[in-house]
Amino acid sequence: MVEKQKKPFEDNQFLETLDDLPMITVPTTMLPNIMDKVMDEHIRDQVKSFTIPAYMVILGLVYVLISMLSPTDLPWMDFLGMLFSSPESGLLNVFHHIFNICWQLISNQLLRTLIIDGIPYFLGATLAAGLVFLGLRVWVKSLHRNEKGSVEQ
Amino acid sequence: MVTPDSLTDEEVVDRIKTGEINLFEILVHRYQDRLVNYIYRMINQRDTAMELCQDVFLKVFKSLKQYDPEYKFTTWVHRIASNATIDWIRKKKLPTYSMESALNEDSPTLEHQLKSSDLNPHQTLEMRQLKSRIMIAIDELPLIYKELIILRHMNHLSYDEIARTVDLPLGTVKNRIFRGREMLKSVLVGERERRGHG
Repeated sequence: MVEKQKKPFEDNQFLETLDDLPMITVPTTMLPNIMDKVMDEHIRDQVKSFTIPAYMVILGLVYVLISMLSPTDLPWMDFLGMLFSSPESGLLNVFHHIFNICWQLISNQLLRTLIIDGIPYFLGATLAAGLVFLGLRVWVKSLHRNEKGSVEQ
Repeated sequence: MVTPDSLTDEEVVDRIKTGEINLFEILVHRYQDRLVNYIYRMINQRDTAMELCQDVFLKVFKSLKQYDPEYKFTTWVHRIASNATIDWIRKKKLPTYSMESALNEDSPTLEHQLKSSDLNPHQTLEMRQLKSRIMIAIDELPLIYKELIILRHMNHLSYDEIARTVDLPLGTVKNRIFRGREMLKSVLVGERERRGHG
């Protein structure tokens, strides 16, 4: 009798009740929200993996374009050679070269183009560089759209 | 023909790793209810639970490369959710739920409610109230018991899975779950007796 008073709840019923507690419902927007974030993360990863080489190639192309428009004392082949044949291969070194290219382009090539070759050449080189960057941006965005489209299908 | 639904979690993970990113949707679909409810019961804040659950899934996705298929995916995903939730709880000072206010409601005896098998509408209401009180009592449990009770009785993990999830010996898990249940019972009995005397 005393034992019964100590255990007023039937164990099985108590466990059944515990196992059958109500759950909150998850909104239907949850899954697409998560998948959007996952896809963004995936795209970001993809972009990261080719961003540095892509920028290097683009800057190289811009440099080639400017070199062709205005031959200088630093031929583009030499410059690209210097860029890719560096004995150090660390990321900082890559950034150093990118910075170096930018600096060369701005301080040397573009100014020289502007001063020596005149405004039309300068505008042409700037426009070409802008178009290349714009093209890359459109391309990356289209990749993102394709990924999302494949999920929706 | 193999359909995505027939794949095990581990097979889905393998295919995601090979580039079928959209299959992650299957894992989200399979686990979102359990994880949201686990987090919600742990922190008692619905909107935050939703946000935290999204973060957990993103973390799961980012960590898929490190997933070791030797372990069950269920255990692994719950472990990430558990770590994220505990981290969140440590960072925030959560308000305590007032058990007194909820338990002092005028309601039928627990014993009567628990023994009901064929429930009429009135008894269904009573059962709902009982469940509500049990949930409040769970929320009042110390965290080490609360988490295990939720994993066992709401997420329906096995003892072994729980042990792997929270990285505790199997014996400790069984012991804590038993003690957690006893604490729940004692809270419910105490509440009933207080109402009986009141």
